[in-house]
This record gives sequence, C-alpha cells and structure tokens, in this order.
Amino acid sequence: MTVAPEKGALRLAALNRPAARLGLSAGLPLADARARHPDIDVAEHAPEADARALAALADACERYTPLLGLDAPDGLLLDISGCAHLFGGEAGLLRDLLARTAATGFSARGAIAGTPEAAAALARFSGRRGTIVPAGGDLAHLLAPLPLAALRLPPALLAALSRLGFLHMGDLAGKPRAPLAARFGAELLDRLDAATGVRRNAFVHREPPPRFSAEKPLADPVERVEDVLGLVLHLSGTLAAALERHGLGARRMDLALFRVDGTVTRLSVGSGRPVRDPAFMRRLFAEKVATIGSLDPGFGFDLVRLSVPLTEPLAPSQEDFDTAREADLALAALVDRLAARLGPGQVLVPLAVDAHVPEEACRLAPAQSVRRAFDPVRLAAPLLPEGDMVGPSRPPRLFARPEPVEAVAEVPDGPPTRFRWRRLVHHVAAAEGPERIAAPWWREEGFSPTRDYFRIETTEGRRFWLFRAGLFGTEVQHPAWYVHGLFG
Amino acid sequence: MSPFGSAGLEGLRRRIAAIEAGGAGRPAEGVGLRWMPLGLPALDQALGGGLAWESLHEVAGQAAGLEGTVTAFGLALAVRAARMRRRPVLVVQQDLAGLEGGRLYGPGLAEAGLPEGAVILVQVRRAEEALLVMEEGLKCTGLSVVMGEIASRLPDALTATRRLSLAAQAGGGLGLLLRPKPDPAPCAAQTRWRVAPAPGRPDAWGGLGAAGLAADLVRNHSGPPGRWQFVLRDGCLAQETEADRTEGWPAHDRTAHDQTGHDHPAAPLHAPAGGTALSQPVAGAAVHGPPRTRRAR
Repeated sequence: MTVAPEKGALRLAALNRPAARLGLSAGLPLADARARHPDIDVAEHAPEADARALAALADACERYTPLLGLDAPDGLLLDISGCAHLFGGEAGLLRDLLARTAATGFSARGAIAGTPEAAAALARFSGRRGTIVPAGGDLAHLLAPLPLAALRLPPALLAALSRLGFLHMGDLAGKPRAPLAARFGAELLDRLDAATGVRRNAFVHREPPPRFSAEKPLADPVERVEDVLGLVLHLSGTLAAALERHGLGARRMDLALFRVDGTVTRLSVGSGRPVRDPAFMRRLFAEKVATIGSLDPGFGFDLVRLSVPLTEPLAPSQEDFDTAREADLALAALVDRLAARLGPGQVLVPLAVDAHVPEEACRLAPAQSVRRAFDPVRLAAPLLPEGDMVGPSRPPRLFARPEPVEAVAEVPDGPPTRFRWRRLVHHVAAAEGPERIAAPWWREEGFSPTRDYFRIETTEGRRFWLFRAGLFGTEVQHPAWYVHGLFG
Repeated sequence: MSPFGSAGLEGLRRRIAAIEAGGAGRPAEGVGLRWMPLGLPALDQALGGGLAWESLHEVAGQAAGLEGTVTAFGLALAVRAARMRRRPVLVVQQDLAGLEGGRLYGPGLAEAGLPEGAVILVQVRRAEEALLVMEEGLKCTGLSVVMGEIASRLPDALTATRRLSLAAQAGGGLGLLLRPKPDPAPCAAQTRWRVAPAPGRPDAWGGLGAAGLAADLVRNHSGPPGRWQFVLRDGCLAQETEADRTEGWPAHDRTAHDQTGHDHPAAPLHAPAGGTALSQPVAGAAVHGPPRTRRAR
C-alpha cells in the first residue's frame, strides 16, 4: 500500500489486494485508514519508479509485437494484428503474456478486443483475468455493463453523469446524441464511439517501429556471448538481404535480448557509413559487448531481435581494384569499431570554427558524424618559398584551462622577461607578439579581459604560448599572465 | 565555397603541383618500401636508410615536463610519413597526458602540417585502452601513422610494445609512441629517441623562426646511436643550413615585434644563455657510438 500527499494530507494512492479486501480504497486519508486498521504497512508513492517498472514491462512485451503503446500509469496496449498466430492464437498469446507477467511478480489482467479503448476498459473493469472478444463481436453489447469510469472521463463529468443516473455505458445507448453532446461536451461521445469502434483513434506508439527487423525465438535459451553473436550474424544475414532489395544500408542497429525472466538487454551500435555486411555488424556488436564486460544472461535469452531504425541509401557494390577506396573503407571500419568500443564521443575529428578566442576556434566532432571524404591532396607539402621560415602561430597543444604564471615584464604591456610556471623559472630569450584577441563583446557574459598573446622562446629553447589577460591601465591595474599552449 | 575545397587558391596550387609531380592518381610514395627517408643524409645513413616503416618508434622527453618538445618531434615524423603515404593520421591521447601537457589542438595541428580531415583524434582514459586503440589503428591499412601519447606507466612495457610492433608489421604504417617522461622500462621499439628543446633559428625579420630540437637516438636496431640536432621547417625535421648558422640571434638585438601595428617600444630582452651553442650544429655528426656497422639481421 502506498501513500502520497494530496490536499494537505497523506492519502492512500495505491493498494494491494489484501488491503482492498479490508475495505480500504484509494484517496482515503492515511489517518482514517490507520484508525480502522492500526497495523497496516505503507510505503511512499513513487510514480517515477512505477513508470520505470511499466517501461521494463513494456520492454518485455515487445517479444509479442513491435507495435506497443503505453496506457499510463498502469496499462500497456499491444497491437497484435497479425502476430497472434505465432503464439498459438489469441488465447495462447494472452495466456503466455499473463503467465510471464505473473512470473515476474506483477498481477495483471488482459483483454483482446477490436479497439484499444474497449480492450483497456474490459481489462480494467470486466472483473475477469482474461477476456477475448472474437473478431466481429458486438462491442457495444459487451461494454454495456461496465461503469462509465472505464471511458477514462474526467471526475467532474462522471459526477455530473451519475447525478442524472448515467452509471453504466449501456445507460447511454440509444439516448439522443445531440442533447448529450450539448450538455456534456463532445468528449463523452468521442470516447464512447472510440470504445465501440464507431470511430478510430490513432494508436500512439511507444517507439516508432523500425522498418527492418529480424528476430529468432529460441526453444532452448542461449547464455554464451559467442552464441548470441552467432545469432547476430544469422539475423544480420536476413536483414542484409532485405536491405539490399531496397538499396539501403544500416546506419544504426539495435539488438534486443529477451531474457527468460522478462528482463530485456538492449545494445545499440552505429556506423559512420551505411553498412550491410553481416560479418561487420557482428564485429561491431562484439566490440560493444567487450566494453560492457559480459552480458548478464540470467537463465538465458529465449528471443533475439535485431532491428535497423536508421538506414541510408547504399547502392549494390562490386569489388574493385582501387587501393585508395579500399583504404578508405578500412579506415571507416576502424572508426566504427573504435566508436562501438569507446563510445562515439571519444573518436573525434577536429573542425575549425570561425571564432577568434583560441579555445573556441576548434570543435571536436564525432568522427562518425562527419561525412567528409579525406582528400589526400591536402596532405601535400606546403608551397612556401625556400628559406621563408615563418613559425606556426598556434600551438599543437592547448591547455583546456589556461594555467596562471608569475611573469615579470619590463614594460607593462610588453612581453615578459621571465616567468615561473609549475615551480620552474623560465628566462625569455625571444618573444613574438602581441597578437591581441579581444573577447566577443556581443555576448552578455560579463567582463572578460582582452588577451595579448606572445609566442615565447626560453633560453633553453622551449616555446610557449603566453597571454596577458587585460589591457594595462584601461582594463586592469595588475594584469595576470597565463600559459595557454606549448609549441615545443 | 570554391569547388576545390576550402583552401581556395592554395588548394589549386597544391593540386597543380600534385599533377605536375606525376598526377594525383599515382601511387603514394613509400608504399612497399622498408624505410622512410627523413631527407637528412647522415641521419638516414645511421638509421640504415631512414625511419623504418612497419615498426614502432618511441619518443620520450629527456626530462619530465617536455610534452611540447616530444609532440613537436613526433608530429614532425608523422607529418613526413603522412605526406609520403597520403593517408590520415590516428592520434591517441590519454586524458592524463592532455591534463598535464594540454590537449592536442586542431588549428595547431593544421599549422604543423596535419590539416582538417587528416587527423582522427581518440581520447581514452587508461593506458591499456590507448594501447588497444594503437594496436587496432596499426593493423588498419587506411592510415599512414598511428601516434599514441601515454603519460602513465605501461603495465607490461615489453609485451605491449612488441604487440604494437607486430601490429605495425601487419598494417604497414608507422607507429609512434610518445612518452612525456623517460621510461627506463625495456621497449621493443625499432628506435628510441630522447628529445630536448634547443634554441631556434630566428627569421630575417626578427621573428622566432624555426624551432630547434636536439634528439638522442639512444637505441637503434639498424645502426649506431647518436645525437642529432634539428630545426623544424614546414612541419618536418630539417638540417641547419649555412644561413642559419650565421644568422643566430644577435645577442643584444632580440626585440619583440608588434603585430598590432601601433608604435610600441621594443623591450630589450635577455641575451640567450646558450647563444654560443647556436654556432655548433651537430646535425649529421654522431657524437658518440661506434662508426656505423651493418648489423646482420
């Protein structure tokens, strides 16, 4: 039994069956309940935990159909059109579903009907554990004895209806529609029509169903990682054929492993270019499994599903003798493997950004997401005239956070003559600068000082990139010095 | 944007240069060769023809805290290899190395000779992960160089570096292992370098000019060890020229030049302590070690 604060008092929010048998009901203040039954156990109501449990249950139910909707807070809607025969018909499916749910410790009721609203109403209010309305059954007749609360109407509307004597759905049958709509609004008739199948509401999916999906139910559950990867190879082969027929390749692949006890493990891998090769897909999943250590199979997986939620055109290809293309493919495969293993955010390419502040002038983007062919011509040696020895203006190493140094300069706005960094004193032999970089004034971030950057060579020959924060005299009185990068 | 990429005119010039040099479709240099000549005859001779492809080379600082120098030397080797093979470079950096000596910085890499698109940067936390990424990268035929910077101690250095050497043999690229601190642990690398900064060569206009670098070749599988001095030019190692020797920093004329353009009093600076050393280039001269003998391999 759980309680939640409501209207200034702790009230019962949800009850288990023994509590309901004591005559308690949701909404009762906890003090009243304690007065009647002093020895009841209560826990705090945790709607987030309930939502998580419902999501886990929904995961487990994906073994029946990929078309799944949440009927929060305590219901699931499964679109089983065309799926039931795989589980021995509708009765077999419902039996299997209720048995599996009971095995995980939940009490559940189910109903199969022509409309999701009718199924939800029957499951909640028919009082039976399982109800099946055969195709073409008279929904209006079956729903007639159910209370109007089954239509999920707002409490105020229910109260108004009950004052007029409308308690069951059957009470509304045959009543003139226009006065009902005028009195109670269009919502009442809409919901009634949706439940009886007069009109159809769109089914809201929990996740968009993938276009390509292949699954393998197993009579004998598998536990070993090698077996799972073998199944991935098998399913990828099935998917590859379907993808090739459509001229598509996979950019993302999701693997769902359904455990016998109802838990679902999901693995997702991406690829930088569309792929179709089953062996490569298997390798990506092998890398992914290696990162999480090992799968926890429990008592084994009895259903494995591989789906492709993201595809991209990939023309049927033919092996050729172009070594550069082969090398590009090898590189793309390496990037995909590393990204599957370390995470896409660790395999990066630096991209130039149009900004003056050095730390903003470079952005690291996931290598998989950057679709730019490598151009070998860019690697040709620069065509500078011989003897022109202009050193680099930006260091190859930059500190994420500039490190403060104690510097001594001969004139306040000149380069330093010596500085102390990390407890070592460096004497400046030569300096180049300043290169003045002002903070972007159009940003409202408060004051950030103008920086004067100097390229410094010490007497040892080390080269630093130092800057002085703040213009002497106008911005600050005692400008601070920082080392921002290392040239060599 | 021009149809020839972002570089515009410079890109066109390069394209023409590439066509004139034999066409962009011509196979890249150095494929199938054992050595990558560094363009420095004496050093190439000492190495047996150049830096060996398909093998691992270790670059460490002579003392702690020389991350910048180690990176500059490693980049110079990587840039030369990438230009010969015309393939991108995979750079692995351990997070610890990034914290101690700064993260690798795209614009700086581009100026060093690895433009956008030629670098893939992998950031990892543990040394084992860095080794694993390096091994995977070295096995890949689509890369020219795999450069890994590992700041922490290697768990089993000999085995780890031997694995990397074998991976490099399989893939055919160049493996560079950068260690900011010298590590006395045994290492299966083909060559081991200890680098230290050296005074640079100012340009004709009073700028800093080319950076200097001194490298001890402490282990060389195919020749004698030795000590070498370089300048960095166009992103690659170069020998000091006659002009550099005569144009050392004038001891009292080391002034700052002002890029902002307004009149700025030049601040006189300290004379370099090692100023006299500039006139003693040792490039091409092995300081110690026996005269080169070809070892039977």
